[in-house]
Amino acid sequence: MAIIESIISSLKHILLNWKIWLIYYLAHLICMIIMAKPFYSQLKKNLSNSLEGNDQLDIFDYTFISEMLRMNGDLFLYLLSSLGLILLIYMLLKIFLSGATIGTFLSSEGIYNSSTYWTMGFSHFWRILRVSIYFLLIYIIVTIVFYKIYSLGGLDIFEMESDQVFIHRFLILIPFYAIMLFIINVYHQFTKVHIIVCHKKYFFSAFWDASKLITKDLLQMSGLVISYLFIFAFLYSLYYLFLKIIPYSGQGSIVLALCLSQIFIIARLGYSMLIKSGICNFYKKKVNKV
Amino acid sequence: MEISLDIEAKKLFGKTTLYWKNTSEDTIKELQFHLYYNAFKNTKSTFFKERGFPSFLSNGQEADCNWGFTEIRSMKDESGNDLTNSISYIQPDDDNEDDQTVISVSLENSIKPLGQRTIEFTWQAKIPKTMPRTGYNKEYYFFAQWFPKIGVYEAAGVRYAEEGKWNCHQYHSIGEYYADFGLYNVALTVPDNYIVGASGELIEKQETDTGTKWTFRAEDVIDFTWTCSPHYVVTKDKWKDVEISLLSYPDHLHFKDRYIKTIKNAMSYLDEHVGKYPYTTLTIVDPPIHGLFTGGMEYPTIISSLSFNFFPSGFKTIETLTTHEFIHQYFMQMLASQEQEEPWMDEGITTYYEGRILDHYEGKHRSTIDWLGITIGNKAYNRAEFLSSGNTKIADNNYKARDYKHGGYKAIAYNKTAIVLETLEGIIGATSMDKMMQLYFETWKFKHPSGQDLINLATSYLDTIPNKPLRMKAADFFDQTLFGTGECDFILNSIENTKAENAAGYLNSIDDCVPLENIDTSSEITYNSKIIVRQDGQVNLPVDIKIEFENGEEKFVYWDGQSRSTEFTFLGAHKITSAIIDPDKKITLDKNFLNNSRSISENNSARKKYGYKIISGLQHLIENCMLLF
Repeated sequence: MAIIESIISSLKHILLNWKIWLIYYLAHLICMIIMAKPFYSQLKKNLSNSLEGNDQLDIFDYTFISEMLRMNGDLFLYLLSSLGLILLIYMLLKIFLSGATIGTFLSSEGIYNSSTYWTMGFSHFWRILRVSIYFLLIYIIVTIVFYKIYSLGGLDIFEMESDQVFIHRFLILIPFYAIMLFIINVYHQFTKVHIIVCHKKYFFSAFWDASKLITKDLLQMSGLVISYLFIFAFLYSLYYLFLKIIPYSGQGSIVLALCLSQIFIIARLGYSMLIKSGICNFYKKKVNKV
Repeated sequence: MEISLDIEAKKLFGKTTLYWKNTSEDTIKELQFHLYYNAFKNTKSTFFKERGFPSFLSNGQEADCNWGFTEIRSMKDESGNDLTNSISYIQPDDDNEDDQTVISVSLENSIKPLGQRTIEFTWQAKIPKTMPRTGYNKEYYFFAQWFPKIGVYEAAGVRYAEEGKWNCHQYHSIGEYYADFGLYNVALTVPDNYIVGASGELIEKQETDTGTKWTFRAEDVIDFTWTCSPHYVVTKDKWKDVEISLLSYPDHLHFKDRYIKTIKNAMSYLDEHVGKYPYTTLTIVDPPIHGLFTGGMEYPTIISSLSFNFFPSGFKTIETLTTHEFIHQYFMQMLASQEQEEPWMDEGITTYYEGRILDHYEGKHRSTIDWLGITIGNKAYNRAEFLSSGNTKIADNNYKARDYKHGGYKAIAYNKTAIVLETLEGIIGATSMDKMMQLYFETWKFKHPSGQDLINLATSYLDTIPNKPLRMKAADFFDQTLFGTGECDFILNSIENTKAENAAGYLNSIDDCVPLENIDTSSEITYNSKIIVRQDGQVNLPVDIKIEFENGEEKFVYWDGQSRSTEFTFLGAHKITSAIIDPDKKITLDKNFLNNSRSISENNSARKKYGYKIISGLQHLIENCMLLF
């Protein structure tokens, strides 16, 4: 019940902060347009006034796709590789916005204020970036460890009695892997908040403090994160349900799909704000450090 | 043949009695045999010199010496002449004196024209471990190209032979086999707990002191192949009078319904569209994961497929391989072409029928992959595989299999041939194609057709079709497509709609200048509409073009494709709104369908759909990447 109340309160909170939501979406949209524009231009240039593919809108048209890739393979590869740079810029932007948003949510009013929002973004940027990098390393290390465990006993097919080995090992390990990732994610989410609260301390000391605090309230914090995961799963299910229903029969349905996709992306950005708000509220109540 | 398997020593001990008939008018002074297992004797064989030494084979080779070989221990003819010392290794294809995959046996007494000879020989074979297509691993054994097998004596007139000669190639790293039809009686003695699957019918199963003796008889086949393992589970079924056996390991037993359904589909389709399957048995082997090296191969009345527990059911590996390998019962088994010299005749034609069968039963757009909304049809996949192969001009179908040293074997021999045949089918129609292939089957079954034999047959058959839709000799078609490296690319260059006007100027006399004005002075405008089509490739093929007018009317025109470009003009009250070359995509050789059509307006829904997919995909991609931040 407390969790539901917390979610509802967070929902109200992010609606009050619709300007932050808009900033998130604009940042996303600008990066997306920069990324998609060359692909779309190439598509337009290649197809010109061609009718190819028009009669196969409702299926995955492999001939059309392979033709496009063959005609533009090198260019698409170049564009994909150049995406890396834009992704990096977007990542830095998200880290910046993350610091500003958590700072806003932790403030006494908890409401967007243009004069403080951007300042907080700058002042928390470095700390959030470091947290992100450290946790990224932790995720990678955990994945490598699990891969090593998975490959214990060998992956040489000529030494295997049965290919069920691949599946059995996977089925045994995947729950542990998922739980491990989840726990790390809980630490990650709460550390981001704690590290901002303790901005005056040394980074590693704050990092260590955060770990101790989270470990103490891990169960409750996990419960909160799980409930948000359910929201995430619900959002995704809804989106894919809509995608399945829409028949790609003409331009109208394509526009409809595009609109739905945008609504989903906005909802998803809202979700990331929701989780930040929820954690900040939880943090305020339980840890009472602010 | 009397064979006993020693699973401890990993050896076969065999005694063969060969009754060989000279079907030529020549006097035969020598016999030639394949000893295929000697390809795996050491690194000096032509097989390994061409192939290099795959890293997976190096596991344990030095410690356990898991190489293989065949050794003839004694040989004599029916008169008791000992021929053992008359055996010599020969290398008809290269100068590699270390290659021991072909032997020549000089006969004491020549074999007279149309005469016959009985040869008895004893031999042993060391079974290799995990070598390509044959060998053992753990308790799984698969014996392909495993016994000393006589080569083919091609009399003058057979295939390309101008005079009688042996056709007995060494074992090469690329390419398959060639053998004569024969009747095989084979007794296989294996440990009691082993289950055997083999070419032909099981005649008798008898327990002996040394194990269980399984006796098989296979008639009118070009080879004999077998497998055994204590872990096989046998699933039996029937299609017409043919007994189908599926040999699976227990962990793959749940695939049995897919196998049985697939094989019945393939049998029904070929029965209807090519000819009758004349044998009484068909065995499918589904190797275990450690027997992967033997999967996806074809042998008389026994084929090996592949399945994986970790593949989603939407990956149609079982359907594709089972269908493909079964089609080989026709194209290379009954129509026994020389696989090494003309690989397109078995692999290409088989790939063509694979596409037809799978697209027919599994769905045109989902016969290869149907998983999470990603659907790929078999024919479309084969076409893309060829066109995306990097260099579609690296070789042509004049190449022997071993000549594809720099790549292109699969793309040219398999995929391109299939596309050429699809294109031919598209031009002449499926019914005519079926009749032609039925004629080929009936004319050449249980013989050795050459590529030229098939082309000659196609030429004479296509001449009988009314209207001659191919508009060229079959030989010219095949020269351009199958044996050439030219490309095919039709392009709809432009659509023009202009108001039709009267002739103007000094038409009748220099005193009378007729002004420029519309033909029809009434309210309706008449248009002079034109499309220009061109082809940028080197292959000249006839093609249909569909033209749509603004009132919804459709017109079809035909272009013989013999010039680089042409135009079609129309005079009428309505403009041309769009045109498309080859609207049914019959010419699958066309390398780019994107430029085959044109509309006067930018009305491309596909562009919008894929534009949306790209935008949406990128949005999800960036947000997924940002989950951590």
